[in-house]
Amino acid sequence: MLILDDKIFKIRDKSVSEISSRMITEIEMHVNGDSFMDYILSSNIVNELSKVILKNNNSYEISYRSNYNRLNILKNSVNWVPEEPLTDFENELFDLIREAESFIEVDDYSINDRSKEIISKSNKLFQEYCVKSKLIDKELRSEFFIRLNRIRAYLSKDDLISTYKCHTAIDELDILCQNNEKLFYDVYSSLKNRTEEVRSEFNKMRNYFDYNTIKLIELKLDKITDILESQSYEIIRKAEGIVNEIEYELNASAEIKLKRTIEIVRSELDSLKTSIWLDDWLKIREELEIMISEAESTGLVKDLNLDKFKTSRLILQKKQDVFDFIDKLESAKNCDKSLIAGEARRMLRTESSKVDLDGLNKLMLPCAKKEQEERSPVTMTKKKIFYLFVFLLTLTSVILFLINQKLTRQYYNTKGQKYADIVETMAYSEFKAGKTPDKSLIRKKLLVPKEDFEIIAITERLVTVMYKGEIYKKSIRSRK
Amino acid sequence: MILKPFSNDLGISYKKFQQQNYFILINNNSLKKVNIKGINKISSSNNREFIELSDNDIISRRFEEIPLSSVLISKENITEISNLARSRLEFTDTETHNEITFSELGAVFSIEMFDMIWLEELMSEGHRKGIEIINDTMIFGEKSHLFEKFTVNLERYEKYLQNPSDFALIESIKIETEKIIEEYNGNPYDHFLLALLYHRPTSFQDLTAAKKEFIISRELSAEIENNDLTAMCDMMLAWFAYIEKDYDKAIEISHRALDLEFLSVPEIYFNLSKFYAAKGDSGNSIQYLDEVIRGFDFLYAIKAGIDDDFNKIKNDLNEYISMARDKAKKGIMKRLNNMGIFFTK
Repeated sequence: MLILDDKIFKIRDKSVSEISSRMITEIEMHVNGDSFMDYILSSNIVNELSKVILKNNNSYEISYRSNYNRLNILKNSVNWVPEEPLTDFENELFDLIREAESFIEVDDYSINDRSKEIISKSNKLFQEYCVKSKLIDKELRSEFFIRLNRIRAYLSKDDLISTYKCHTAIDELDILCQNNEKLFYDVYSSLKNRTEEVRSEFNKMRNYFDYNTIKLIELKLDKITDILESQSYEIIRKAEGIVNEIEYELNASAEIKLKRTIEIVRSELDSLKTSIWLDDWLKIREELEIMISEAESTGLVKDLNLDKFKTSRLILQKKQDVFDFIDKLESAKNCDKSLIAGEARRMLRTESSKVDLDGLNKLMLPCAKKEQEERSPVTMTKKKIFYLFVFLLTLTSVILFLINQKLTRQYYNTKGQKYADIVETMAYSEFKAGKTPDKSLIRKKLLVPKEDFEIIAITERLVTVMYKGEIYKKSIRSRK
Repeated sequence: MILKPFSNDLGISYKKFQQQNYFILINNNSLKKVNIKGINKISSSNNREFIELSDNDIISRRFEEIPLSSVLISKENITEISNLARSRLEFTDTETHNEITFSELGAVFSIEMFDMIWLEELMSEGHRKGIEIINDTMIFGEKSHLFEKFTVNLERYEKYLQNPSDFALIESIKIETEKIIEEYNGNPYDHFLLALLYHRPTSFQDLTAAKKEFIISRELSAEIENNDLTAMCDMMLAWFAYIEKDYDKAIEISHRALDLEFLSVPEIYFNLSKFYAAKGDSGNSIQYLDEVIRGFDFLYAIKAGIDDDFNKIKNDLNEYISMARDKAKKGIMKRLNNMGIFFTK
């Protein structure tokens, strides 16, 4: 006998049901066979069936059950029986609910799924109506529509008494609406606004909380959101306590924030004491204390910083002032210069005022004047020496040149005469041999550049040569 | 089909058993059991002294024709199991090369298929590596022409298995293989092939010679650590020992094969269980039967149920099957209950 536990075996979809029924029948057949082979053979089918059921259970939950629950919740909220004539809102809402119901009722997960969007749309419509009409509270809303139904009933009748009763009913409805409106603003609206403010403030201050506190506050905010959707002023009222708790935490944190900001800004100022002129620092400190007092009284820390004092410019200014002074000092030649420069540099590392630098500046003036006086005689002497040097150099060069020229002339003369002797010797030997000396032959024997030397003539008694532009003669020896 | 394995208690000699049981190899690697007409044709072609058989002479081996315990299998399952077994042997797809290995066949394997399965197994990774080593060795030893002849012989043998009535073909393969071995006896595959040829129920069947060739093949393959071929040799040597009724030897050799960690031949496990059963050792027999059923193929439970050797441990086997059935049942019921499905009596 087959028993299906519907708490576990939840199959609504027709196609899934058919498939699983087929499988179960096959398994049942094997179970009835009750042999080793039967159970072995059924194991594959059991595997497949478990996959089918797993998939089914997922679809059951997602496509059917979750939508079914949502629709039920909505229908619980819409807890009046509408009577003709329906309002536009009722028309639209109940049409949507009917449509959603029609999808949910079908034994097909894919169709059940289609109800999801419809239900969301219905929920949205309903929520918007509740806020717009201020009928947040379920009981009051129900009361409202009951009275409205009464009015509709009277309206449907066409007699005088019904008309009078209708007026009374409308008055009563009006009073209900007024009371509701008051509650709406006092309870719901005010809580909603406070919650939004608190949420916004919390988001700004997140960094000041540790992880656990953030999580706790977020949980509380989520709880408030749920409470606001609870449809009960009584329950919504209780949420005020939660909002108070969050505000308390935020305030406590705001104080911490203020203290920390003051500490930080004072510390930042302290660190600037050596970086900027003391005069500027004192001015900033005075103004900062005023800003701190204001922040303490207002609780606003947004502008509690050093931005407006443009401290970076002041830091640069001090450096510039000192370096300018040192540059000026460098150009002055003074044995005390290094001491003054050192003093100026020390100011970059210590608390010092502009006045101190001015004092150093005054020290530098006498040095500059003395330097100027000493500068003229020294310059004069130097020039003289230079000119003298140049003159002597030039003179020496000229003398040396002249000497060189003379010596060169003497050298050339000696050489020229020598060449004349050589040519005479060659001519003499030719004559002695009874030959006539050949000028060109004799010239070839002399290794002198052509442009420097020339045999002009060779006669019986005389040799004439030219060397380096000068004529040289030599008488030929007697040939006895 | 799951066929009753040969048993020394079958009342028929091994050769006569072989001569009435043939499979042929079809192109796409299907195996087809030969009918009586084919049996007579093949046996006559391969043995001049063969006397034709009639239907009554054929020993019924199909599990469908053998009564089985209802604890093991109910009547309604017989067709399904039969179809499952057939699907492992016969393939409808004629285009693809279908696998018929020991592991694919499982309990459907029967000893008369051995050569066909071995040829298929040669395509496996383990054997291919071994063959490559042999090929390289023979090339190096200038015997590559002999290796080529070996591969030709394999192809010819495959052809023979497609038409086992061609006795001339198998004879020539035997002669060629012997010549190759004469020239070079270092190829274990040549020896293995020759052993298979001697094992065939032909006029030159010689189980002693087959055993000798398997031993040589085993030694040569063990030298090059070709575990696949070594285990194949052990499987056949264990089988021969069993046929000679040396069950201890059969068991020893089977263990030797398993020690090689050769896990893809379930038949070695089943044979080991069978040899223990033949000895009457139900403890060890059940142990290895359980291993092969759970680890490889549940159909071995049927094969054991129809194997005459297991009759010696029938009570223990039935008890085991009963326990296995109960365990399987418990598992199935638990899973069904988890799904919300309850079967009550």
